[in-house]
Amino acid sequence: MLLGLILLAIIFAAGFLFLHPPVWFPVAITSAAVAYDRQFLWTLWIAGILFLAAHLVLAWIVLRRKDAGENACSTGIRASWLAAVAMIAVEVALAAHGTSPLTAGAPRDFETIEVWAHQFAWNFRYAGPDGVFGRVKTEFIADAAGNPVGIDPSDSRGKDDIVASTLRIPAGRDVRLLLHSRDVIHDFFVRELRTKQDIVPGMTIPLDIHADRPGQYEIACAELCGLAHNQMHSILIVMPASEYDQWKLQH
Amino acid sequence: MEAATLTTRRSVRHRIFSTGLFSTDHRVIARQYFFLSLFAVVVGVCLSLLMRFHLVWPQAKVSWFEKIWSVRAESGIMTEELYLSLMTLHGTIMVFFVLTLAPLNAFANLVLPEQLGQREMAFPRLNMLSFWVTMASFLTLIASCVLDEGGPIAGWTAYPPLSAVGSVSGPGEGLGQTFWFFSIGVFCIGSLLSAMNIISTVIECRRPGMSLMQMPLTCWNWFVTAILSVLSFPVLLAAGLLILLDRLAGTSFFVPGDLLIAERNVDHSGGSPLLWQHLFWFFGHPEVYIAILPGMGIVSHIISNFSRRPPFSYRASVWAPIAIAFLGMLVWGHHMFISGISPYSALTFSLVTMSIGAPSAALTLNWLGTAFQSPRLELNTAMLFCLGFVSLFVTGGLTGLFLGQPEIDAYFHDTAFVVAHFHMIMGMAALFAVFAATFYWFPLMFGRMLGEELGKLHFYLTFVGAYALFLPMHFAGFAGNPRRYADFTNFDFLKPVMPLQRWITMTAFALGAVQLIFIWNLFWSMLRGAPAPSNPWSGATLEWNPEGELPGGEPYFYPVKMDVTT
Amino acid sequence: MATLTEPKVRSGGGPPPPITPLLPRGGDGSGGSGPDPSASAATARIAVYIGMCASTMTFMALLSAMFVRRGLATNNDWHRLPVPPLLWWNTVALLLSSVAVDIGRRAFRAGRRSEFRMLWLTGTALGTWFLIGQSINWKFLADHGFYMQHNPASAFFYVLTWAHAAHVIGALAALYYVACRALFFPFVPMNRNVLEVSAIFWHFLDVMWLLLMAIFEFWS
Repeated sequence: MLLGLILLAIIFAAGFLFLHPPVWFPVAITSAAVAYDRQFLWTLWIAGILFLAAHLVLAWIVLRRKDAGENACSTGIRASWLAAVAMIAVEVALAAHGTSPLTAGAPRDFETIEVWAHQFAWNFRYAGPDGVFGRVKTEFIADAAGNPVGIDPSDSRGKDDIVASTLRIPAGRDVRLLLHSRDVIHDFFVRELRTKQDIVPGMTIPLDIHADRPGQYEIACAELCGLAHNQMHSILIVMPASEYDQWKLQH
Repeated sequence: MEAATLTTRRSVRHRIFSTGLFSTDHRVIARQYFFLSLFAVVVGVCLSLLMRFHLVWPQAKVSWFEKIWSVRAESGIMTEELYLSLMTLHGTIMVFFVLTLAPLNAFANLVLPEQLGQREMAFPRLNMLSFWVTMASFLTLIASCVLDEGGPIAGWTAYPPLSAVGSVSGPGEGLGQTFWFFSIGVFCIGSLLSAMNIISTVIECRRPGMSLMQMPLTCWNWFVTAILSVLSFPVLLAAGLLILLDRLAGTSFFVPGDLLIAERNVDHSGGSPLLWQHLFWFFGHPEVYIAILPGMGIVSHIISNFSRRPPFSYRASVWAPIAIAFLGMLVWGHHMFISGISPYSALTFSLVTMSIGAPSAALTLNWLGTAFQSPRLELNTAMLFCLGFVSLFVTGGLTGLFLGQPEIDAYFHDTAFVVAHFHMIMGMAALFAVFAATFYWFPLMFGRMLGEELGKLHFYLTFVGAYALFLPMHFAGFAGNPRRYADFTNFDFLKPVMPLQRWITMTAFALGAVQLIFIWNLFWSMLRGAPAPSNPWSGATLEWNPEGELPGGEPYFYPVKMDVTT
Repeated sequence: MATLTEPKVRSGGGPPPPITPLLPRGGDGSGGSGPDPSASAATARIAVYIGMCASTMTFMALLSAMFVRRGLATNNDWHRLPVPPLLWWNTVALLLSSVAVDIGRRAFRAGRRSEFRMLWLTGTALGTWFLIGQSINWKFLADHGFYMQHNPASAFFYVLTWAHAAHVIGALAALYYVACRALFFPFVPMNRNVLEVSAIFWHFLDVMWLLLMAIFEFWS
């Protein structure tokens, strides 16, 4: 029966695609990302087994020859309950396995960097040698004049703040990104970190990361923010910690 | 009882333009809804093909782009605002005017009264009104896109502040977005009227002697879906009202203060964009169950019919959709895992989301079990589409296992993985149920049979095409390919994904072309199809046996054991 | 012809109840499932209960939005509104209107037509007064500078009272319809449904108003 053959072909095609994927995840650069990949594989195996089971049964149903004969079905409701309970057990186990402890607590000594998103560019602010951020106000924002973040010129603490269009973080250190938006909802997404975070105007949202692998990784906006949503491109540069400190001093 | 043909016995009902535009006859209204959603799906598919074309050939010049969209396609190249407005229209039309109307309104109006042993819905005039209100909503939506400044670009989810501050946030965000919100508000009212009708008919208008646990499974699913509609559409209406006030009356329900958009200060303060997301998704998640539950009922019913046996477990097939609907009202937060909600809320939503897999697994077991225990499986087109539904539902549902975990979702949110997930389950599985229902009840709609050979050809090509298109799309999601991007030229990591995107576009065009087989089959069979016998499928429900008795004089009630030899 | 047997899945003893044959189709449906008026009344009542459910969901959505917004009130921008003069009188008027309509409904059922007419007209008049009173209240707030913009408390007050008033307009139209029928035309059993349904919905709006007043008074 053609449908049965198609179902078997689909099973094989799916298997083939996963064995020789046309594209795949990029390299994981944090330990959280490595844990992510592990949980992803667990989920993939379980989903794959269930997919295989359901499709094999379906293919069997349409391919077999059968003779006329009635089967009683008083087992129907019991089997249904069994299926439901089994499914929920599998799913809850999977979810629990993947949940990181909620009581992990904030890292103690972290580097804070501010991420400022707007239509349609990224800006990043570093605290400078004094380690303190200057006050910002919307009225001081002037992209053309080089103040995209709106640092208050009367605040002395802001004079040494570094504002750049690429994000540099030290490898091997805890970094807290404080996400701000001045207009609509954006989303900070770096694939190699295996996480993203919506940036909601009116809120300052922290995102804690700890990257281990130096390199350059692309930053994309992942929440529709208007016309040029697809053009909000920036780079995350993970530098060895010493180089990062040096870079901060030189700016 | 001789086998009178449907054309002779019911021919009066089945002339295509039989009883006038404002008829209160439930079958006329069913056909009106059917043709509205057919038109909508054709428009929606064309929009998607335009989108797919642009994604792989963003700089291509197409002369008639300029003719139709002069402002947004100068020199024939589709601009980003045109792409985003096509995308918004595609999502809105498909979710509202195809997936809410076709499985529920079109087919419930067609067979619900007859399956319950009645001649009409509870409120025929309200029924007619609900169709015309829905039509008004559709026309308003179309109007939003033909305005001078163009249609909205905020997606079918219309998140503020993008959608709430007017044209300063983007082209089409002025009058176009306002019209869009009006259209959705009017749609809510149409849906509520229709749901009222369905619920009243099921509760009060069953034939005497038919208890709720003797209703066909289709009726159960329409009933549960209608209840979901009553509980969720009003919330969308409220949200739409508040956002229209934000746009028109200067309130700040959803817009925070201190915003600088396009170098202009926006005069709002104190609102919360997350509030819109909560309200919208409180409606939005039940909406996707409104899209799939009628399909599940249709599939249960048709599989039972062509397996020549009652459902594997009638009670499970009743309680599982109820459980799905109930749980479905509690999981809206899983659309907001990375929005900025607390991790404790995320965990709760995640656990409840995962538990929806349980009734879904029970239902899948029921479909497979019914077919498995069949003494004689009849694999005609309607049955094939139902089996295809089971396959697509399983695949699409299993990708939910990934998205239901907040940490896993943190990567996949707003990537092609999500797009693949919901297209597999809403775009393909729900549509397969609509195809199955069309083949099954075509004789009731038009007194003729829908062509089987063309139907089977259409099924095989569409089923293969569905997997060929959407299975690879998941891989684009693995690579982190974001969604709602007008093109993929600005990122290095998207270059290796382009061959996959080209494959998806080619397959989309092929799949779109295959649907022409269905359209041809539909219209040809309407006019020239074989006249249908009174019970072409030897069905045991009352729409095929209106005298209330089964062949042989046995009294009807559901679920019945069906005779194998007919 | 094939024979079919009863399924084994039916639980409980006893044969299935006798199946009545379907009624022949007579004209297009004119509402209701058959000539039995009580069946039609039950159906109408279900419909209005569903309408009440839908309406309740709308108000719950608006109220939850209000609570969330109040919780977010940064810069203490949640200002208490001055109490418009007619607010409590309006509440009393709506309550009395509901009482009048209900007693009128019972009078109709008992056949006391003139009593019904008087009570129903009183209820309708009081309902109209409620609407007029609401407009006066809104004007009062506007005159005192409480508009929609820049003031979430007044914005929500307006939204909730407008939503309620929109429902009142619809329900009042139904009350007027019944009043006109009562005054000028004989009342057929069919129209009793309109009477019952409009009375039930009117009571619902009254209860909703009391709920809104309680929330305004104690929580904002």
